[in-house]
Amino acid sequence: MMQKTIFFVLLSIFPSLLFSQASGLFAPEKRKAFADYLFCEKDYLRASEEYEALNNLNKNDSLSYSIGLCFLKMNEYGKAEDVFYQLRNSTLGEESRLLYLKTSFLLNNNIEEKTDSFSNQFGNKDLETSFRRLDLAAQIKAGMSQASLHSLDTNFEGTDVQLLRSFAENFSHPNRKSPFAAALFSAVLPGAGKIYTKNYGDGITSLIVTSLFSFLWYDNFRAGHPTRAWIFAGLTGFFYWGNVYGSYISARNYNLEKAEELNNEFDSFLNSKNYFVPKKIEGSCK
Amino acid sequence: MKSRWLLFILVIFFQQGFAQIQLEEQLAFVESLFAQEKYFDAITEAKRLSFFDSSNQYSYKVNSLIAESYKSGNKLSEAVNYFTKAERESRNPEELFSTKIKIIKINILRRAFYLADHQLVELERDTRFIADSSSLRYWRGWNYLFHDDWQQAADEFSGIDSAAALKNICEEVQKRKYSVSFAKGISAVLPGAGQIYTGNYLSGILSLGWNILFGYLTVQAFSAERVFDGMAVGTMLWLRFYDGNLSNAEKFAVEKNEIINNETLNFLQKNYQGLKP
Repeated sequence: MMQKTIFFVLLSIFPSLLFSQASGLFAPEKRKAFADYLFCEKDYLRASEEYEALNNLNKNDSLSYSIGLCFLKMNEYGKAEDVFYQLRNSTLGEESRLLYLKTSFLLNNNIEEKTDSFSNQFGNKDLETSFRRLDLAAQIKAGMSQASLHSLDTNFEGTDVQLLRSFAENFSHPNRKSPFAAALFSAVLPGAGKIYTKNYGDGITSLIVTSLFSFLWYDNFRAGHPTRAWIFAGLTGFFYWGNVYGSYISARNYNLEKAEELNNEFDSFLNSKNYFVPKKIEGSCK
Repeated sequence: MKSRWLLFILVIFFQQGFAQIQLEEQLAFVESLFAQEKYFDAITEAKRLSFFDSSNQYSYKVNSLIAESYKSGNKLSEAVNYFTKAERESRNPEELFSTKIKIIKINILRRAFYLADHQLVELERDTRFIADSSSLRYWRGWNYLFHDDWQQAADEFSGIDSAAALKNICEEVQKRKYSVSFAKGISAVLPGAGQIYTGNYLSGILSLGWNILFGYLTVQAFSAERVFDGMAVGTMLWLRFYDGNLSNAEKFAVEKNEIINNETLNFLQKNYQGLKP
């Protein structure tokens, strides 16, 4: 009877010990749960390390995909692009192909060539739609042709179509000012170049200041005050050439600002719509 | 039948016991990582412990360790977030007080003067912490010190025996600092004097020279009854250099004071042996 009891006690403790070993904090399923928790807590760096540790133990497409998502969320687009490219023919191939193209789009990395090579590779209807939209977004940024504009109507909905048409128009015909023209205008009439670049306040100030110093230069020479005349001559020259150079720079800044503004507006529009993000990413955290 | 129940209870007991041991081992692991200054890993492992600590028995300790690690890595906002979590999990007034002070210390470090001051006032009003008034005064002194109010800091430290050295340092800094209004004032009377007062001799002499030259030309134009010339030189040249001289006097005094502040704070950080934020 005694032996039987001891046997039962050991039999009970042994699985308990085994269970405890298998269910340690570093057991794979617990580690996966912890990594998912870190991902949902937006601690992507630690989440990626946990997914990588698990992937090293047992290579798995889903883990690699999660690592790619972490890189994407951390704005490490180069690394994300590599991961999704490796997964393009895996069990998560369609999602990976779309995210690969998205990261290439964000990196501005040869996206048009890549979209061509990935066309007709999406079986899932939603992913196919996202792919076509991504392709069109890339075309808009590259300066879409008039002939392709009608494809916006079939792939986007509602007021978005109109907005995208205006983005396409702005990207293909950017509102630019010529720096050389601005400098030339200011050389002929001080301040005119700045007014051309819509820098009205600076333009009018340049015109008044340069004219005033020119007048004082002339008037002092005429009245026989050479010292003051030379001081005003120096100031006139300084302001005149400053105004010519300033107009050149003003036009360059105008172009940079407009390009940045357009890119930022387009990126915010795309981000607000979340067109190219598979539901799997956004829906995994509560 | 009885013995089977007994066995069942034993199994459950052992499982709970092992789970408990795992958590304790994990806590020891976190503490050892923290002691080795491996803060990134300490945070990861502390978060793991927190995730598996379903009964939240280690919550206070774990959140405090995560916060301390973030603070050591100079991630002060994250540190405050975790100290706030620890504050919610504190189990007695001592833990609560200690955590609140840690939050105040971070606010002092990130120069959130008014927030730290508000938190100190709240603690002073709390009847549970009446006995800690000198500690609160000590941290208020540090708050003033980081707010560049060295005289007020010296006043706060003056009633605390252990802070006598800090009081002396604050008074010394107060004496060494340049008066911004004095620098501007003397530059208004004699252009360049404010720059010379702050030790910028070349700038002071140049400023004086430009003001004399353009002042002379302005006066000369007016004497020759060329009013328009006088106004043009006076407003566009003389006034511009006079105004620049005032701005420079103010800028140099502020810069010198910032250098003195930063040198003192660096000195305190490296050499002061007492409690510091």
